Amino acid sequence: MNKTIKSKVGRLSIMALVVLSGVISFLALYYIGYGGAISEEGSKQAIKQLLAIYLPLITMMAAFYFGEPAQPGNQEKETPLESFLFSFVVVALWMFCPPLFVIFGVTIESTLRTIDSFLIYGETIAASGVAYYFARSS
Amino acid sequence: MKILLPVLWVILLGGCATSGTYAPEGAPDVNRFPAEGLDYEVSDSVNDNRMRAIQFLSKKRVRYRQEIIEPYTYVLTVFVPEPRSGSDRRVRRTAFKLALTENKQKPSCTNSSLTWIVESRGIREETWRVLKSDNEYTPSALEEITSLFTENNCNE
Repeated sequence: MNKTIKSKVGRLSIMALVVLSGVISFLALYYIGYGGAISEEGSKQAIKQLLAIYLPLITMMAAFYFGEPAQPGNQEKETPLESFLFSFVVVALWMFCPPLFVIFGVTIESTLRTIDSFLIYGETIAASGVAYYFARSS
Repeated sequence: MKILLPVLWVILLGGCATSGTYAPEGAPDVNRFPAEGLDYEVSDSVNDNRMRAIQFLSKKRVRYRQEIIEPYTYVLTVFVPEPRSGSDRRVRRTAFKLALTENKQKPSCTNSSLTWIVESRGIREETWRVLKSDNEYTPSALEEITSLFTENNCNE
């Protein structure tokens, strides 16, 4: 028998992953930049870049999550565990990157260049993971 | 899938190691310096004062460039790092511009003007910027450089 996971749990897990990654990224940015280590201008650029990563995904998930009409039994719906794990791993693959880039980047400019060069690919992968699971679990 | 995912992740993380390269920078352009400066009347000719400045900088091992844009003779230094206190998370650097010109009223004297740029960058930044705090900062070498003029004051 195939293992399953409740849709609500699966969705919330993926949402939590994205939000947690965002929070860690911003905390990492604050941590490396305090005391003038990154100027105001540099911080603004970094914040814009990080928002460009997280906002589309959060908006997409919110659209799925709040856009569906509430139907009895929707919360209890089960999805295959494999589908969830696939989506979770695909989203996590990109979500782990920004905080690590911020923490281990030599300078904020090099971090932003790195993020910029992977942004399209990372967002595409993560968005496809989110869309796949959220559509499947609706 | 087991192989593909770690490979993709490693490729994505590869960018972490990418860092900027820093080419050696020359002295800044004359026009980059602010108009505000310190003015002195020093004894001897423009050439004597230019040589004095050059000898001083060479002794201190500060690289410089000379430029003549009539009526001025400029001596421009490269950016020199400012001393950093232990807790500072920003580094500063200063470049000086010395402008020499003949004094028409006193032929045995030279008008000299000293001005400087202070720039700073965070320890996690590549870009040097001029912040408000940099404009208010007094370069550590200022006293030493101004001694070049005060010791040869034309009025004395």
